[in-house]
Amino acid sequence: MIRIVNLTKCFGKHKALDNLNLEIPAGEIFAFIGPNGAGKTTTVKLLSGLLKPTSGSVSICGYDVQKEHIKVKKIIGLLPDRPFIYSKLTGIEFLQIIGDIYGIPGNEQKSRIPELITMFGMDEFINELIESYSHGMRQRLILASILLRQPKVLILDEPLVGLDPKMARLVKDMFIELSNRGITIFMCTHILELAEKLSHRIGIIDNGRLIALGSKEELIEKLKGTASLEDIYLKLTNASQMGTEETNTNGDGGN
Amino acid sequence: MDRPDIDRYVQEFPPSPFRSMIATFYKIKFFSFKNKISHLSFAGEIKFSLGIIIGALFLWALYIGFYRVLLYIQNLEMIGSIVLLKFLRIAFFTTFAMVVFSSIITSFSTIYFSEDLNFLITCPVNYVKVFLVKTVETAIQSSWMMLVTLIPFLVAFANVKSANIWFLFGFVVLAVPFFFISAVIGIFISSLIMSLFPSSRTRDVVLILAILIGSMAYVAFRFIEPEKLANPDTFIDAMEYIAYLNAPTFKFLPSNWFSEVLNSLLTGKISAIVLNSAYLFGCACLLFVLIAFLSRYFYYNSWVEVQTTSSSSKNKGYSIKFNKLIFFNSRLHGLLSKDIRNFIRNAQQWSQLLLVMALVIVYLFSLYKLPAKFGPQITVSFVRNFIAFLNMGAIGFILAALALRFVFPQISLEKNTLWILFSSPLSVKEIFVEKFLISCPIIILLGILLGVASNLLLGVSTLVFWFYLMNIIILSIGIGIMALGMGIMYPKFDAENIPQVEMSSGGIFYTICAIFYIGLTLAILARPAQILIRHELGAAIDWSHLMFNGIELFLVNLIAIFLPVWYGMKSLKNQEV
Repeated sequence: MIRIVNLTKCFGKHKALDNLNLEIPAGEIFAFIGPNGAGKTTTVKLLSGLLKPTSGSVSICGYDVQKEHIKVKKIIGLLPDRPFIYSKLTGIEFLQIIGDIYGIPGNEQKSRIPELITMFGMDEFINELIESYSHGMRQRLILASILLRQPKVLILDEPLVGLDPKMARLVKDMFIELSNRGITIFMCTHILELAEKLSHRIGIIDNGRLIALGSKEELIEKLKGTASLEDIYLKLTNASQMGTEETNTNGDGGN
Repeated sequence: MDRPDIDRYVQEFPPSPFRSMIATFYKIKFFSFKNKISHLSFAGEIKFSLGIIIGALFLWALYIGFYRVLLYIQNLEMIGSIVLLKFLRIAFFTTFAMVVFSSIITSFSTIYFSEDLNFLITCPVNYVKVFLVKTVETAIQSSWMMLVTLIPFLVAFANVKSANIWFLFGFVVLAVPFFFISAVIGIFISSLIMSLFPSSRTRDVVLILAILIGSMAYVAFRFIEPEKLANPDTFIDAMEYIAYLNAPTFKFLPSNWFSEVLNSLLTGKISAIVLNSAYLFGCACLLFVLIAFLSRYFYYNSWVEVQTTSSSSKNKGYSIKFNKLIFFNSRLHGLLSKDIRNFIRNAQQWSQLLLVMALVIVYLFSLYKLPAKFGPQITVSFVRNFIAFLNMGAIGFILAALALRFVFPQISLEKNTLWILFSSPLSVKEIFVEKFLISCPIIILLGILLGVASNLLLGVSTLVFWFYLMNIIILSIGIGIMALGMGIMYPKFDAENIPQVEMSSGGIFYTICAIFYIGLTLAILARPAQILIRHELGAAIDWSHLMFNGIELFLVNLIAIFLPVWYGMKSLKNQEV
């Protein structure tokens, strides 16, 4: 479903993503975790075509994100980390416009939009301007707009931020159901519990490099003496940062 | 910490004086600017340097233009010096009115809707200080462009009048209170409106405001009666004409005090210099104290109102309506309906259309009031045709200014929502076409309206009518597409309001390109216009010349339209979010 080959992204001299290789099959929930500035959001943007890679490639369902971007965008659903949407539209108008842009027929919109509104508990505020929505309400609206177009791959950057516990539970259950229906979910998160409970595999990224990959059990197996994802995360990211500092020190010494 | 410790800590924490707050605030601006410059890439440095060079050349060209016009006026027998003084007064009055208007529009976004207010309001400083910091920011933002444009005019004026260095020194010193007063008057108006009306009704308020400003512009324009300058015959005798020229435009306005000081610096009237300078500084100080005092009572409450968005309408029911725009496919329909709704609901944008309408009326009225004859040896037909030619340039300038406001910011206004467009299955071509459809037809339609109405008012012949109308349509398409393409090439995503997008380096570059394009079009059409005037007087049409000029015009428009489309699409394709 998602194939990432030697993906690198540089911003000037800074390498935000360094030679990432990853393959995520259909129906898998993949959690991408790492410290702030590790390269998670950059990866999300590269997957969704919002950024161009410095080198390497990404293909989704066999389509190259750069070369066949229109086809890719028809099958992905993106939830960015900062969900800015048109503040002068109402929620219902936003859903309809997304329906139009993605070519969903009118009668289908008429039946599915009310379902989604009810599912995400938006009946109370769907007719109000988006400028009056809280972060969580916007998050719900974007999730509804993503599900409206029935994507094959979901690319989510911090999907639960701003959601109340009830809505967070609903979204988590929904992810599992979507995964069972063969939809791939690529998810960046800081909530380790979410990654631990929901995902089939976990990738840990630090300083733009993938430093660990596998299921929770496989990671525990690899790193003896760890019992939870939190232990693994802290052990690996601390080691990685110390390694970086060491490299920097050596580099300085050499000059 | 115990309560006494906390009290001691709070007391020891010194309140920030206004001066220090201003310094801190501008330190932020200064460091941001410094970092922006120091982090420029090589290409960025070249672009920046080129921008400065082009800007300087533009100001120099303005200076040359002003110098020639002012020198010509100065050399007019008897009335030269007086007409020049009248020009000075009109220039300052126009500057004053423009800064007041700009300040009203800018202050809504800087003082009430600015993103950094969420940070500033939480700082341990008095709200009055925050308001004053924002007042200074508004004053600078709304006046710097007018100041820059005024400089070549005044330098040309000084040279024509052989003024000494004190003239320019006087201008520099008095520009501070003059622009401050103008901006504060605008802030007073916007603050009054924000205090009187709840924030959710700002849209309606801006509507009233726009009508008010439009009417004011109309009335002010008629007050000045500029056509009288061109036609002394309308006065009963020479003395009345000279008395009209000598009369101050608006006696109790800062623009008059400013022009009086500068005029007195030339004539050496010390008492007038002192008196009018005192008026300017006194008025500025008074307004500063007054607005600081009043802001204590209205600012925080108004700002809090702004944060309370329109959540009062609890609509439990909803309906899904489909009003399809039948000519467009589903994707274009989606985008267009989004932009139309955004436009209608964004009062900052549409309210200015009312002002445009008022200005159009003023412009057409002025054409209507133009004198039928200028002298015994100049025929009515010549005057009409000549004015029709100049009219094309004037319409071009109006359209360029409107395109800068309505077309150029199209992509910049998307800023935070670009991720929706770029992650959707929309091609670059579709986005470009949609942005064209949503913005350019207004410019083209207005071009047609102005072209038809102005040429009908001028009463030109059918041939001349169609000739100019066709050229105005071509010009309006070129101006619109140029604004769209260049707006995509030079977006300003960090802008908080449309004036900031207009004043960006890209906006200024577009203005220069548009002026150059209009100038080039006029230069090419000068010959055909001459041929048409001669034809009206009975001469045969020289088709070979017309053909040659037609090819020239085609090539200029090809470049003016093709390059912005090409580079705009390329830029959109390479845009990273």
